[in-house]
Amino acid sequence: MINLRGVTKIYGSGQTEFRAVDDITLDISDGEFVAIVGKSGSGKSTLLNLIGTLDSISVGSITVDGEEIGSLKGKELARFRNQKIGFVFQNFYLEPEYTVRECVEIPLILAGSFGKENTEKVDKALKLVDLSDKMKSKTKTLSGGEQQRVAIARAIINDPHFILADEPCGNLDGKNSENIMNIFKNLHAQGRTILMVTHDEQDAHMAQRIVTLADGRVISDEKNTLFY
Amino acid sequence: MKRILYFIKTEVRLLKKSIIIIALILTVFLSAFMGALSVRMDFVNGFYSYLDENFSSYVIVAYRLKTIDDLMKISPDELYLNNKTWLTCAVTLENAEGQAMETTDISENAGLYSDLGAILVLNDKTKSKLDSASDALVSGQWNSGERQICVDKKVAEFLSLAVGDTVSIIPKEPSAPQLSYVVSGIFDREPLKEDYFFNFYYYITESNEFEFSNARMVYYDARSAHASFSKYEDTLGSLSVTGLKYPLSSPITDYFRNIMPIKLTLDVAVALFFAVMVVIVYTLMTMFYRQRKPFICRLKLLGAGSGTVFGIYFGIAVAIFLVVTLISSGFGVLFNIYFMHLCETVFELSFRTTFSAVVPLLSFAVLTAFTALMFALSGRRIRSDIIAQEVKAE
Repeated sequence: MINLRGVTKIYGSGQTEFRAVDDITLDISDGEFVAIVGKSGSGKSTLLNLIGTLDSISVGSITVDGEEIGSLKGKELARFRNQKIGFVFQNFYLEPEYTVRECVEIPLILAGSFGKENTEKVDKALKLVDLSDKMKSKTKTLSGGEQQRVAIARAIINDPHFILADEPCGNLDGKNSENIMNIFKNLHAQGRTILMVTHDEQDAHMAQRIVTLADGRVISDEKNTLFY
Repeated sequence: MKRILYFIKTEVRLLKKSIIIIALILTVFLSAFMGALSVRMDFVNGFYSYLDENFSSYVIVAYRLKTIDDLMKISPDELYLNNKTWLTCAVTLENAEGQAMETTDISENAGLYSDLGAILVLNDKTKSKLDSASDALVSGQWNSGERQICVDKKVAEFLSLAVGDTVSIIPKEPSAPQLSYVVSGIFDREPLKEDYFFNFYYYITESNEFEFSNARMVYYDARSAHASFSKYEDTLGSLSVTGLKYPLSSPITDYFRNIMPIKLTLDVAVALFFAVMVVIVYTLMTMFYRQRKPFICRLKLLGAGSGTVFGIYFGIAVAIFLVVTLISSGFGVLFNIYFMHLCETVFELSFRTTFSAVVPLLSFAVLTAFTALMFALSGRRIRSDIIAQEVKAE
């Protein structure tokens, strides 16, 4: 469960003050697939960053599974990112020189897990994103769609409660976008909570709930009647 | 620790060759300087070179005296009192029958050397070392009281000395005091380790030539070695009292003009400082040159703490440091012993290592400052919110 209460993010001060996110209150239940949409500059990525602890809140609070994330520091913050959240970005953010296996294994290593258990988990995650045959390839040699699938495998490897995806199909063509969205749908079907930022209407309608932002504020929060 | 080792292993595999080469060159360079600290180089009065196995610190302060009159104005007693060491000059040894031999050198432990061997006039430091070396004694015992000496068996043979005999030490300068010693023991130098009493010696005067002579005061103790610099002014002051014609008005000027601090060896603190500085520098260098800040960001994004990130780069730095130091230490020793020796013997170049203790520290400071500056100028903070900003920018 993610609870946002009066969340505000202010950049600059005085005359240059800019409210990227302005007094947002939102609840996201476990198992939901939520799409956050809006025009460029509407604050959707900022909101995702605040939930993912990549940016700090100026005003308000965010609790994730009852934990106030604004107060997390050091090891607690690292544990939160490692265990509770799986990130997927438009630009993938993979390690180009690492093999697919190494890249996907990183969160497990950081969690202190080694050996056969890791092998099994990595195999399972790569099978889920249909990349079992690319296990030994360096990530830089993969196509965009394949890289994004590696990123998804890495995001789910620690079985996090929430997957935060920021324009996951932004750099992909139609076919690859479809594949990625199908993976998200499968993950959702397995019970994972997914929060996805997108400006693509078609992608947004793959989610069961669509939150629309404008000027940092929520202007609509609706169930997706087309969700199937 | 295990996770840090995992990433070190992976990252070292990916390290670019350039950083290894840079690190290697820098370490060779620095090690050469560090070697200059641990290898004695005295090119002023001849070439003496040895590795300081004890790593104890000492400073030799040499007073260049122009005449034997100046030398003799510094009485041995006064120097002993002032500097806790012995000073003497070449003498004639004479047995009770009037048979004599010349000595030419003096050891740090107040041994007199002849072509045949050594005569030990022990100080406390030497005595404590020699007490356990009874196997070197041919007869008698190590000298312990005043006016006792031990003599090398070759000297004893030459002067027909036996334990209990009296030998006179007659300075060449008529005004200097003549002293008599009782032979307490005769020894064979072979079983003794060199450093018992033969660490180094230096030429004082040549026989029958008193026109130019040098006298040196030696500080052996590591702590007093450092303190000796600060006592320099007092020491010069005491020399002044003896009537030496020294320009004592400016101690700093005199220090560089008349006194050579030949060596300030490594002590533990300096060695530790060296290691810490190098590892810090390499840590920064690895992080900077590898341009792995995006990697750091991603690691943090995936749940790495600051300690883990630092541990990874620290570990890489230690790995580089260990490997290249092993290689470069060899270069450093070669550089100091053989290269310098070649310069001296082949090209007749003389070196003074007066500032050798300072140069490595300066180079560390410069290197650290440079690396830190470059690191700062890179304009990127090692924080996960960089990614947030990048995403935002997109």
